[in-house]
Amino acid sequence: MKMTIRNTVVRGLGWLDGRAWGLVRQHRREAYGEGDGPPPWTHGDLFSYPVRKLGRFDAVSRMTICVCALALKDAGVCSGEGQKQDIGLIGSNEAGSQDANAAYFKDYLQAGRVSARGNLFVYTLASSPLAEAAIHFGLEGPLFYVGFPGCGLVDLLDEGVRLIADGEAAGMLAVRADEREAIAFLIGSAEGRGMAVQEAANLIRANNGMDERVGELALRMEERL
Amino acid sequence: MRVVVVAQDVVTAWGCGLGACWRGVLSGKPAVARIDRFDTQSFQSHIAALVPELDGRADESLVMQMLGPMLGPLAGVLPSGTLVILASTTGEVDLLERHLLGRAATDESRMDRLLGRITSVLGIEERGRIVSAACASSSTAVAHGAALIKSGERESVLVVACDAVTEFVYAGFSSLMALDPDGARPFDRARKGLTIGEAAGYVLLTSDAMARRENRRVIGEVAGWGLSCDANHMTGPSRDGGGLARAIEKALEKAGTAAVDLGSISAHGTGTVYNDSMEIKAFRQVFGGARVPMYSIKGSIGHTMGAAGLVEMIVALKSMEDQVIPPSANLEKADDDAREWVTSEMVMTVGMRAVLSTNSGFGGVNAALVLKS
Repeated sequence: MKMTIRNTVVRGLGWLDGRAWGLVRQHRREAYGEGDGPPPWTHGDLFSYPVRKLGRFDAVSRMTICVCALALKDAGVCSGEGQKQDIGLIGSNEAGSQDANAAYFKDYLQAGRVSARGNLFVYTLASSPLAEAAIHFGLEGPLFYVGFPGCGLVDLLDEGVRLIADGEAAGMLAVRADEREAIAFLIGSAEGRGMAVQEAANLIRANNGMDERVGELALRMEERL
Repeated sequence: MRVVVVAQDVVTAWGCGLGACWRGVLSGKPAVARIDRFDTQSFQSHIAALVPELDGRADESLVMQMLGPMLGPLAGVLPSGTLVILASTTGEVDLLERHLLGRAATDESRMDRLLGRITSVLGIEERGRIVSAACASSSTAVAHGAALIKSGERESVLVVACDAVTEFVYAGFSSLMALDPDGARPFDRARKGLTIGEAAGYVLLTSDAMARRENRRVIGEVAGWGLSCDANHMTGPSRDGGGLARAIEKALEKAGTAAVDLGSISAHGTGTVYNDSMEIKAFRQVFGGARVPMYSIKGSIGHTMGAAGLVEMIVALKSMEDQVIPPSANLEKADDDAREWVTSEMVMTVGMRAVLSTNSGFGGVNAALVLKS
């Protein structure tokens, strides 16, 4: 049977925004405490070991690694330090690395146009936030940023399904992450444990405690299912 | 279903067209010049492989100056339903520079706007998509396009790739101490960095059925592709080459190709110590004792970043057509590991029907393509 989005399994689905975070399969939603603000969470809350140089990550990279952690946690996937996984990572967002580009070049100009900062330069690639997550979680499958008209979440899932069907990886994380909201699906073939994409869409439609903006983002799935 | 290349074009530091690029690459010389587009006084290097006659002060961005003349003739002649995939790392980032330097009121550098400009030149209504995977962007985009065709979702995909030499990019690579002030020497024992280059190009991929139906000349076949991530470091490759080896193995498996079938390898070969060392280790892992002739064109046309994979694919297809393995420019004394694999001389061959092309990039991304004649 040809693998399609309809017979793909969602192993984990995580989301977060400025007010709360959630694990969809586990039916969990947690609001941040007063004044807590959004992630990054520290070691132990979400990550089984500390994320190296998390403080240097740009905003999209922080959101990306946190939402990947949520999707993996929702799926029950544990990742020990140095452990590698046959999972790929594709991502999309509204503006690519536009904000990181501006931050890097403004910093360079403010420094007198003499020297740039390498740790800002690395985030001027749209794929860099995904790479930070892949490095931390040991994800060895395909990794790339793909921009679709309207940043279609279903297009992203379609691409993840195609990569699995094409033998590129056993599982794929499909991530939509901007500076203020993010959602990530860990998908796999139907032989694995998880819920159907339709079921995930239903849960999202029922809101599942998900913040309205993230919910709207995910609801675009409905158009194609 | 086979995925075939039915049209292609390229502009590099050797000038417009594949002919100019091919002759330049075969010359074994570098197309490198001193940069006058911006001040390089404080940088690690002062040279780059620049496309002749690009104007940093023109209204159009540098990449659109390269792409416009090349893509214009395609308007109206692409198969209906062609999907456009744009592959780039920084696209029109010179427009962001202008804005932040106060020379332009607004920032028009977003990648989706560049994609819109490209589809507009092509006269295509569908907005297409963007693929970005650092310096493996265009080979990843080719893999993506080929997978769309092979799965039957699309019959025709135009992969457009571009990146330009800008102060933005140059300052960044300089800050990472990644540039060789004397010019990149891929696989040389004395290599110490890369030469930034700029380029743009396209390949039109279709199913073999469509190529037959529309009577289009088949230039070659994208027979296999593989993608992977080292999951190791943001700016350095995995030292053991394991990530690239996995990508190559996937590509060979999809193509149904064995090492003995490969006529040559177009390596990423940036000229950095770690990249080139990693690549050789990957090739040794995959091919064992079977030494496949290998070359890098980055000593000649520089590292064209997101466009590198596409330009190298086009050159690799040409190498099969002419049965010539290009030289690796600036190679004087091959690294011990690379000896018996790489040569500074062009090699005439016969019966070369399959080649491997590889790329890697920041974040540990790897892409491998198996191309057949």
